[in-house]
Amino acid sequence: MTDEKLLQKAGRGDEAAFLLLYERHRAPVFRFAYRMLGGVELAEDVTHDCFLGLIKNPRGFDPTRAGLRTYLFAAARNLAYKHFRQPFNDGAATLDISDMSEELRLPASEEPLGKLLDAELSFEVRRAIAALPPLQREAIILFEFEELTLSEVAEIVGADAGTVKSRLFRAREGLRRALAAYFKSEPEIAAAGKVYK
Amino acid sequence: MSKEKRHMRLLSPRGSTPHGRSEDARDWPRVSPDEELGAALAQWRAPAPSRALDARLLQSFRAQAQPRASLWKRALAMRVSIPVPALAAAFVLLILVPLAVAVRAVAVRAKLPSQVTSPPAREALPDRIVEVPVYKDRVVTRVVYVERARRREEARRATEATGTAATLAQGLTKADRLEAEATKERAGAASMAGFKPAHDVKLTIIKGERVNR
Repeated sequence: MTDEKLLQKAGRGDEAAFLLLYERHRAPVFRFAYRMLGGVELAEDVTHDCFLGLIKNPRGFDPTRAGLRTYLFAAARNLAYKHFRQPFNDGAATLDISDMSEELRLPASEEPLGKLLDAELSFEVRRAIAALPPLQREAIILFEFEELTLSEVAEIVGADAGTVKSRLFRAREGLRRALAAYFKSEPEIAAAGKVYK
Repeated sequence: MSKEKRHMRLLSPRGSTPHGRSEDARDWPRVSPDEELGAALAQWRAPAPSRALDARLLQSFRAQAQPRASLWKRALAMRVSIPVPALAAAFVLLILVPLAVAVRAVAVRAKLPSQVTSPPAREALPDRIVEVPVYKDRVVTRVVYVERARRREEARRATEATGTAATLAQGLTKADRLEAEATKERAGAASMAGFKPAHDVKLTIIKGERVNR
C-alpha cells in the first residue's frame, strides 16, 4: 500500500495504517532530528510532533510535489529550527574519554586501540558537525547520512540545487579542517588498521 | 554508512545505490564523492528511537482520533483565556466594591448614637432637699400728694403718735392700728414688710399740676 493511501486511512482514524506509516519513516526522521539537534529527547519531541502534525493535517501533503519522506524531512527541519538554541547541548560537548568504553559495540576481535580511535572519531565527527552553521549542517546530514539527491535536499530546505551544492562544499571543507588529524597516516592508526584514506 | 554502500557508490556513480537513491545526472559530476570524509562520517552512528516515543505517539494519535464529545461536555471542558487586565478589573468590581460598601456601612453605624443599647447602670444617689430662696418682686406705687403746711403738722402728729405707741400698744385695737398705719401713710411712710429692697427705684415727683419724672 502506498504512503498516500495509508495516510488517507490514518486520517480517518485507522490505527493500523498509522502504525505502518510510522514504522516506515520514523527511523530516518529521528536520525535527521538527532543529528540536527544533537540530543535524543529533542529528536523524539520533533519526531512526535512531526507525525502528529501529519495526522492532524493530512491534506498538507501533496504527493504530486514530492514523496512523503521528503515532506516529513521538511516538517522535521522546521520543527528543529524552533528548538535551535545551542547545538548538542545534551552532553556531547562534555563527553569524556572515560565514557567512550560504554559506547563501543565492536566485536571482541577488534584491537583495543582501534576501539578507542573509533569512539574518539565518533565524538569528533559529532562535534565537528555541531560546529557547522545550521544550513550547512542540514545539507551535509541529508546528503551524506540520509543519501538524498541534491534535488531532494533542495526541496526539503527550500533552496535551489546550486545553493545546496555550495553549502555542501563549504560544509565538507569545514569538516575536513576539523577532522584533519584523522585523515593523516599516523603510525598508531596504521598499526590499528584504521587508516582513513 | 557501511563499506558496501561506499563501494557501490564508487563503482557505479550513475547507477542507483542499494538503498534506492536515484542519482541525478546533474549531481554526480559536480558533487564528487569524498570517500575519506564519508568513511569518517560513518563512524557517528545515531541511536534508534526509543519505544517510549512509539507509545507516546500512539497515545496522541488515539486522542486525536477520538469522536467529538457532546456539546455540554465540551462546554464544561472549555477553556477561556481572559486577559490579565480584564481579570483584575472584574476582581475589583466583584469583590472590592461590596467590601467597600460593607465597610462604609459599619463605619456609619458606629457614628450613630446607641439607641438600642441600654445605658450603663448608674449608682443610686440619695435624694437631697435643697432650699432655694424665692425672691418676690413687687412694684409698689405710692402716689403722695403733699402740701407743705399740712405736711409739717402731720409730721408733728406722727411723732407724737409714735412716742405714745409703746405705752399704749396693749390697749390698741385693730381699728386703732389701722388708723395708725393710715396716719403713717399720710405722712409718707409705706409699709414694706416682707419685701427686700429692689434694684430699681422709680420716683415720680409731682409738683402741683406738673409731672417731673
